[in-house]
Amino acid sequence: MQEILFAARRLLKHPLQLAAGLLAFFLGIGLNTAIYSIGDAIVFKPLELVGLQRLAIFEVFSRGQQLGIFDTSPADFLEYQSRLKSFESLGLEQHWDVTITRDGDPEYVSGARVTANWFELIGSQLLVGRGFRQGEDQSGNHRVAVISHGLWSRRFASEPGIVGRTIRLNREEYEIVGVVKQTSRFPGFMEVFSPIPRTPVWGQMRSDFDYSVVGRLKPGITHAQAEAELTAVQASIISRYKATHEGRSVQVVALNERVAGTNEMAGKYVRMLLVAAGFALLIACANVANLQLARVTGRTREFAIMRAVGAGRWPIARQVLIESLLLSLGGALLGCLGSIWCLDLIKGLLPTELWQFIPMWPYMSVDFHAVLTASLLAVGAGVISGVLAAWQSSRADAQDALREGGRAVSAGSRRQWFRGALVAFQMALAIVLLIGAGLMVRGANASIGIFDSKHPEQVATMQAVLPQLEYPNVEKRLDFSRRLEQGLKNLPGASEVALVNVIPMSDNGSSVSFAVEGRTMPQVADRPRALNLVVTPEYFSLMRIPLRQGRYLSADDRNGRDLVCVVDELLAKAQFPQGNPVGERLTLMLGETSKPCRIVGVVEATMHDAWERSPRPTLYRAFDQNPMLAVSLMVRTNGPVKAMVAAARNAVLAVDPDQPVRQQFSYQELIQTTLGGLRMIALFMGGIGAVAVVLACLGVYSVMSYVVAERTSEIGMRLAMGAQPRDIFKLLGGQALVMSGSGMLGGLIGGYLIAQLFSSMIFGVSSNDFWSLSSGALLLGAVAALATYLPARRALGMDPSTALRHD
Amino acid sequence: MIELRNLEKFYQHGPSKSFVLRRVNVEIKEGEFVSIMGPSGAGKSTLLYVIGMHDGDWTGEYYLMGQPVHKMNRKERNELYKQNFGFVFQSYHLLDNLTVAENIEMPLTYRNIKKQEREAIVADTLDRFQMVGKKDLFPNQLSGGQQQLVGIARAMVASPKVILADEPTGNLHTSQGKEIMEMFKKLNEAGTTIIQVSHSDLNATYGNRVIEIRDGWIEK
Ligand SMILES: Nc1ncnc2c1ncn2[C@@H]1O[C@H](COP(=O)(O)OP(=O)(O)OP(=O)(O)O)[C@@H](O)[C@H]1O
Ligand SMILES: [Mg+2]
Repeated sequence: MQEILFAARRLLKHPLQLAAGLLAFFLGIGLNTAIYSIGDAIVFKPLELVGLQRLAIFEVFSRGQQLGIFDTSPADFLEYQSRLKSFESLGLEQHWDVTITRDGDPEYVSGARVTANWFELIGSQLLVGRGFRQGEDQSGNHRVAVISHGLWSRRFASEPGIVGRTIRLNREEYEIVGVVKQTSRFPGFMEVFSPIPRTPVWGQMRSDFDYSVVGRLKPGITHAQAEAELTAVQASIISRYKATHEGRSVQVVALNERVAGTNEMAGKYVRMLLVAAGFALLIACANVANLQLARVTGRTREFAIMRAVGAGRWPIARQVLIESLLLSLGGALLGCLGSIWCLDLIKGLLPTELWQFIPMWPYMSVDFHAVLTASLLAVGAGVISGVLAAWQSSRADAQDALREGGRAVSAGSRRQWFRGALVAFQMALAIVLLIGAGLMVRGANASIGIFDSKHPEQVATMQAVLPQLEYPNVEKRLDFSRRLEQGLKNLPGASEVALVNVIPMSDNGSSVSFAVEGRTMPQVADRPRALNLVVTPEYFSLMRIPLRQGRYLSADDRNGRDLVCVVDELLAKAQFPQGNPVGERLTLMLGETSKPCRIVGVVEATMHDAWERSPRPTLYRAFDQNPMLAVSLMVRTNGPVKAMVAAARNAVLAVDPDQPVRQQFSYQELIQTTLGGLRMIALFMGGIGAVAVVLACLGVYSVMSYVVAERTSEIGMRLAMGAQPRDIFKLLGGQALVMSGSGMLGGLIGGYLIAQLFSSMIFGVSSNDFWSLSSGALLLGAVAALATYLPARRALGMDPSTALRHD
Repeated sequence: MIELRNLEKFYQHGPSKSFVLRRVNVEIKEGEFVSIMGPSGAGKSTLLYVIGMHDGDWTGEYYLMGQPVHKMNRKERNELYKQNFGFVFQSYHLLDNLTVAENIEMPLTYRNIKKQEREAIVADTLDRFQMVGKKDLFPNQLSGGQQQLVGIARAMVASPKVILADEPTGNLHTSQGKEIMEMFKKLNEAGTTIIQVSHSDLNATYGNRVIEIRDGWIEK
């Protein structure tokens, strides 16, 4: 007990050091565990599903090019289900856009149609009622629904008698049979689930590639084993359906990797954050180790005296141990507080639009194991370095150490070398982090600003999805789109009006495969694909897309006339490398049908998706000739955009009072929301980078403080020998320069490699960015120089007599 | 050569001043060998540091060869110090990662002397102190007396007019101390002014004058 008190007193004797150590713990552990919790929420435990580790999802590729997880046909699924032995069970899911009417305002929600075994398959927890029964996924029996807890509480005020009530979905009656827990759904943002209305014909659909397959692996079966079996089954399907299936392959991916996004980006970014946070933790550990080393080596004489009066090595080591433990445990405790605080901060940062795709987000809590691991690491670094240093200094011959102070000025070069190396290591990591973070921020800004020249802040947007039942045929849809377009054009202040099936940069897209008429028809997998945009004529001027050849679509390209399209220059170059594409005809494959269409113009290529690094070949078709169920509207105004959003909403209601819309934003807000994830990642990276810099500078500062303290008598002696303050400054500065300089060099090399890697991964990042960022890294050098200068100035400011009396 | 008039030094302890040097009037002529003596805590080291301009925080007048030190700034004092003083420490203060020759050379590196010239001076000094054979040894390979000889050689290498020494024999045996004192005597006879702080009456006999100091007051 007494020893603990002594240890505490010794720690308190250097309050600055103590604070630096505790700060390192606080930031290092806090940040790390908070990021780890985010990783849990997004990738590692994104859902509360029984046996989540055994759930897998099928990802489809065509000739090695990723098509995604929604690319399996019903007939293929049935064949998988009957032949695959690696899975306990397999289920099928299809997105289902749902409009809820009655019991409140019309509301658009995301829904899923699934096989009847869905909730058992994925191990969902139902709060009330039941999942689907066998046979309910047959047409005629399918009018049942499971709703999410969120929808239940929002729309039905958590009414207890919900089971058995009916709900009106897409203007048909469904019986609610159950309520599923918010964090126990897959896909995690679905609010309504209903069985697929299967028919015998449905089971025959071989190339309706619109479904997603989820399977539960048998215990002990790996993804690779399952994939091998699947590949064999796939080969047999391909041999029978060459025309449509040639080149298609399927991979078995862990389900948790596809919860927060349909591609691997979320997982990639989370892992990147984890690595970055791990770096920050390492920097913190180096700090703690450094402080301990400095503390202990500063006491070499004291230990020698203890040895001289007969103390063994153990009591000395024990003293240091107690001290280290005290510091570390205090630090770990602070770290726990830090992680709670950090996590709260982060939770509040993410906008709702984003965390709806991360079901666990609102329930994120500090991961105990992560705290423990991080704390153990930091405590370990402190204790081990402290005790080792104590052991080493107590091993030194007691007499030697005692006389060292009296006989000569010790530069203690070996220990300083090691501490210098630790600092260099910190600096290197910090610079790598800083450059990485800088690149991420640049990438995010470049992506968000990509359409700035199109002035998206002056465009009102929203999306409507027309229910199939109400709009079963072309006439009805045409009526809707024509009236809506006219209604929007009549709005005061509307300068340009466009309807489009999917708005670029809104994280949606559909593609179409096509063939050039007059050439031999390639096999399915070899057919070129293009982004499929269906637009009204004013789209091009609204989106500021310049014409290259021919003409834009016009109001004369109406339903019933010759089907026409405009292509972008990428498609033109790829398909008509030397000829003029205007006047050529394409055959478009749309699901099971095909349509011809004549190219009337070529326009400039433009980005569609920020995750992609460049535009993709695009086909623009006339909205009037292809009226869609998905209708997004865009209205450019010179007046206030908020008012235009509201006016446009009313224009939709004027056409169909039951039609809900979603994402009522200015176009700029829409882009920012879509890229919110990227922005958050960039923000987190920036935060980690900032913490790393703080920690690294703390490291430089504390080591330099010790160096100055240790060399005080030497400094006094040199002054007495006629050295000028300038000489002393050179001496200390040189030491700091070697220390930080080598670290910075290492960091710049690492940063250069990171820049190469990122530039191939993230849009808007070029490897040239490294050069401008590296000059930013020099800023860290400047801060490090300041961290050196402050203690050095103390040494210079003191009268030589003080330095001389120091021994 | 050195003239202190009404020199005072105090430390402020809250509201009260505690004087370390009180109305000190001292005159030391060129070529003298002065011993400053007195009980522990009397202010001997302080007086030495003031003379050596390592301590700038005092009041009164200080003339060095007629020049008013009390009117100089830190930079001018540094320059003056460099030209005129060498310093010997009780605990030698050699750098243990430098050889004997390098330790001796160190003050010259602060005096704008070319490498070649420095080497010549160091060789001369080693010769004078009869340490040529030990020039490549490190301080921890020498005895205490030998280390202090290196300390004196280092203080002498830049040919100062005055050597200040704070208890130069304090860490040494009597026989080793004798050796050091003989060396000082030799240097003094060659014209160097020597001011040493000493506790031992025996050492004081090597000098030609004793300044007694007690509680900051000069006794005689
Ligand atoms: N930084 C300081 N603050 C306050 N008092 C100080 C300080 N430094 C020295 N003193 C006081 O100044 C007085 C003179 O100290 P000095 O070192 O000159 O004594 P000394 O005669 O050399 O003693 P010793 O023989 O023990 O070396 C002492 O009483 C000491 O307590
Ligand atoms: Mg003294």
